[in-house]
Amino acid sequence: MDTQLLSIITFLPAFAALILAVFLRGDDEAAQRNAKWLAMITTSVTFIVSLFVLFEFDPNDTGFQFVVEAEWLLGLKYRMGVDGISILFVMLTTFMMPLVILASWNVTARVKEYMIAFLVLETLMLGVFMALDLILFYLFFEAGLIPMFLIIGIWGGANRIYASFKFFLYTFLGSVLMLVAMVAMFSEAGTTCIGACDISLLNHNFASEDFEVLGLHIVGGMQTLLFLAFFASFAVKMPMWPVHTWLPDAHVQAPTAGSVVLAAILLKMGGYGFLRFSIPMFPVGSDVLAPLVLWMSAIAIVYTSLVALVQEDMKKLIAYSSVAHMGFVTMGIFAANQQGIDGAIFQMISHGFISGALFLCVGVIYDRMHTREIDAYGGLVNRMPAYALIFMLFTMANVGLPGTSGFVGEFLTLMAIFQVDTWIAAVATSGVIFSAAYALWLYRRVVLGDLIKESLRSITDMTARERWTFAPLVVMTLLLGVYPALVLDMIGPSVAALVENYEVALEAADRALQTADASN
Amino acid sequence: MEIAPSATGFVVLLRAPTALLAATVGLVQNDIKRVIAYSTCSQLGYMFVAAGVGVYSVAMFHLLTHAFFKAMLFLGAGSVIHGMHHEQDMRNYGGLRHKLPYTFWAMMIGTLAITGVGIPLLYLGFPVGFAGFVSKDAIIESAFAAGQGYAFWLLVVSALFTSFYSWRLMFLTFYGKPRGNKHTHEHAHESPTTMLAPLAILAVGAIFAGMVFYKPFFGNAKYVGQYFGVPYEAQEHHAGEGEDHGTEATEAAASKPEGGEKAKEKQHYAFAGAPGQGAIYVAPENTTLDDAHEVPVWVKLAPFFAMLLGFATAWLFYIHNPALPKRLAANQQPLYQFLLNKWYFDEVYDVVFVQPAKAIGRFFWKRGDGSVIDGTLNGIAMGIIPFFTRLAGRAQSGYIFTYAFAMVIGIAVLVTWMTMTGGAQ
Repeated sequence: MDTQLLSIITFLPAFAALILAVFLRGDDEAAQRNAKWLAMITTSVTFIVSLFVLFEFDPNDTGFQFVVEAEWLLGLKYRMGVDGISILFVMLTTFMMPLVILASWNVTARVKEYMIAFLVLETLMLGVFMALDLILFYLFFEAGLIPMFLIIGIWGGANRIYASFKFFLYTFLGSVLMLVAMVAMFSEAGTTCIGACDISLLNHNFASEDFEVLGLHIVGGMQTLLFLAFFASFAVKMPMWPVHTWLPDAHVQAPTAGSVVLAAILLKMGGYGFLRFSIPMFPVGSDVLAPLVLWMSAIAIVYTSLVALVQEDMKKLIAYSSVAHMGFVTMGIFAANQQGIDGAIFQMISHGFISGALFLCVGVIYDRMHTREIDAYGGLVNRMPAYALIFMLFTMANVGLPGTSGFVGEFLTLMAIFQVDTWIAAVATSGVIFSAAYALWLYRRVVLGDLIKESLRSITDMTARERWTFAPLVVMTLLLGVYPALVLDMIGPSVAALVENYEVALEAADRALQTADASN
Repeated sequence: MEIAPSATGFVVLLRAPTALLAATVGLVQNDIKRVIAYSTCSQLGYMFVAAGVGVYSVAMFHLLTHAFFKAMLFLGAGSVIHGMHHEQDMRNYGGLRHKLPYTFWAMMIGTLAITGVGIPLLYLGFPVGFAGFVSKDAIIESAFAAGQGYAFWLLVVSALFTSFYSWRLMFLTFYGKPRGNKHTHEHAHESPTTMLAPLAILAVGAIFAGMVFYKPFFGNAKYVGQYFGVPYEAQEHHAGEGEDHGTEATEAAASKPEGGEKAKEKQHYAFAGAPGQGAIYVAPENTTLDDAHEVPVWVKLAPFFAMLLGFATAWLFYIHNPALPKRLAANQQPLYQFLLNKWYFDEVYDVVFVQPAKAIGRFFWKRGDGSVIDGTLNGIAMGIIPFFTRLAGRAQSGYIFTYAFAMVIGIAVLVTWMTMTGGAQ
């Protein structure tokens, strides 16, 4: 397919950002309105264009589609494409961005720059999910840090500087190791092409013979080392326990829209990275370290759920809950079977809607009361019935109530891990109970009961704009909850191919090991 | 029983006390809906015992009949609360049967059903009695037949308590003198038709559900098998049941007149399905369903008399001598408080589960996330690295002699190195 659709989707927001930067002058009300409307229209158009990709996409073709290729600098190629694994992340991004802009309608400080940051961020996030070249991927992956760094650091809360630096340093440190691994990959495979070309990294068998280095016996050899380097980057991004502590701080300090992007899309880059690089390129390394990752996921689920239970700040509670839910994702991915990876992708998509909506829920009352303290609220249902309804829906979805999208992902990943290790499954399942405890308790303390706090007497229910922000998320959460096939049919064949290749590669490595042993 | 005997045994072990425990709590509650709620909890205990002793159809039977009369009791309570302007405390009710006649009769039917009023030992192709009579007795007989004397006695005592708290509710609410706010009582009113019509519909079920659905749920293996689509087969001799047959034979002889029909009914059927055939699976060697019909007469009568005893006590306490309960509560203060506070389950759970979960969470948060993870990483980022930067910064002092000194040292090191390694070659 020779079409530039993907390039258009990716660079349309950046183009709009450029227009804003160059042509928009002044900071009066009209200029602010223009900036908001331009961002709104651009993100909406991007979403509509991405729908064409979605409808033209053939889920049964497990290769890359809509591939765009061009010469780039120094012999490197600009190459983009989508397959069953990445298409839904692209859709998630384009779907969420108009809602994010809509949720930012109240912003008054540096509106032009704010919109530029978000538009550039959208371009970079889309680029991550589409890039088919290692260097291009790294560029988008790393550059994405900058707008987010600025969003937290400029439009954030009181402690924003600490949070933004923490966010930047954690993610950047992980990524540096990834860069080293990328250089090693290029020197071994001789290409930086991820897929959709003659010699690609996805088709390359990276060396997996054991070797000794510094007196350490490395099982899985090169693949294990490469895996670890990538893991450092993706685990921080995900974030996995114990490198998750940047996330609660970043979420608490970020503006509402920043939190939504962070939770809904940026975290998914880690999971996507595991699926694009770790599992298919380093199957032996993945297999060697899977038990470690699985236990880390199980610990993350229980640990962060318990921590969420005692939070006093709403955003922090939801941030910890996000870490727990990402635990299900990594658990599903490294269970490495069809249900697991299906469930992991589903969980990521559904968590995008649910956690995004929950942060928006916090934003709604933060805009009115300017506090995120749970104790400052109580009995909101008496004054804000519509808000109570929507918050309840997403609380239930966060818990994983059947009928909401939250259930499907959790259930699939738990089913997958049960086939791999029943102990991990048992530990992880207890996290489901804790999630019910913290989520329902939060809801009870904030929304239910009598409205006794004087300060809340005159709080108003959601405005039409706020309702429209939630409407698409409500629809998606319920739709995917009752009809998960919408997602699963889209990703199924690609996931099946991924799992099959993974198993074939492991068998091949096993055979190679046996012949090596025999010849010794 | 079928595939996991220890699991079903565990269910019985745990659920028979549930029936009793919830019933004891129901005895002393003052909130009308709380009484009914604990009653539900107790009835669930019955259902689980039935499932635990391997008569799954009977468990569903009680679920079905319970749905009718419990829904009715709750809606009836709702009607009373509505009529009494949201007053839920039974201590403020009394004498309401004249003000809410239809609600009164609905609740009466519900109470007759839940306490298990019927005519024992009369069999017209089905036992004669309210819905709860048929299904509850079926469970109690099954528990006995399965050899669970433990569960049997607990359930019989629970039946006594069920009867007591149900009649207590009726007497406190609808009999005696109005108590509490006079104004509320003056304005007490019957609920509109929209609220009464559902009660009427449920009343039909509460009366007849037990008798109508007796056979498919608690007939013999043939009827149950037909209803649930489970294969069954006729059996000439019931294996391993010789002794029971002995008592049964004498019993059958005693009631000769209906012998012919009874013999036909008594022809043995056994389940003969494999797992997956039909809606439930009962192993062929599970004969509890059959055995339950052949328990001694005193077993069949036990719940009935428990019910009568409960009724009599409630009558004594709340109609004949209303001062008695207060005196008893005062005499037995610790026990009364124990039951009133629901065995302190909420408090125990708070200490055993809630507080530890919060403590662990707080520990992970402050110590794990705060001290260890952030402590280490922030320590490196904000402590150790600035130390080296300061060190490096000091080297660049801007004084010529510092740089000259560094050059001299550099030359010295270089010369030493070349000499040592013989670099001249």
